[in-house]
Amino acid sequence: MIALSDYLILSSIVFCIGLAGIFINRTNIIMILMCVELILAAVNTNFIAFSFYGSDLSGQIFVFFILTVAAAEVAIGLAILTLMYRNRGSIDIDVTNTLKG
Amino acid sequence: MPEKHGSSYSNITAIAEQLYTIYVYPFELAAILLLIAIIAAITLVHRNQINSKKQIISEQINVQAKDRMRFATINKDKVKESK
Repeated sequence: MIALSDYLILSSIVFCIGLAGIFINRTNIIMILMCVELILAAVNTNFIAFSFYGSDLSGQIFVFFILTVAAAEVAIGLAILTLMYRNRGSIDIDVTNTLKG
Repeated sequence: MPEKHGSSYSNITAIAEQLYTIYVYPFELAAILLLIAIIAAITLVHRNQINSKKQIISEQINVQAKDRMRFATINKDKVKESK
């Protein structure tokens, strides 16, 4: 029997990897997209673990919707990246400073 | 501690029962969201086919003679020599 704390430890590790990836890697946008996915996966793990141990199925159903939003986000993010590569010839973050924000 | 279920219990059936009854409207909304994502991604990435033979009427009407015709200067002496 896997304890609840094991799931929480795993999900916090995955979350930290995603967060560290975003902060350490400041050059590649695809890496940042992947790290956001990692963070979402950690949240999903938490949801499923609590849903299983709390005997409430709503958590697992909410994971479906999180996955849907993640899929939509990645689809549009990759499309924007493709456009950016076509227009700029590079997908580095250093190049994306034309707005001077 | 998690609930103990019998061997006939199916997690998929239990989730589906909730998903298709209580959460029907969020489910449909998720479907619409995915559709919007598909359309957005395709409209962003899709570009016109280069070898398309589509007729662009405004270009045809606005064409000027100088766009289609070119005056070439021919050296008469050279033409005679070659004959």
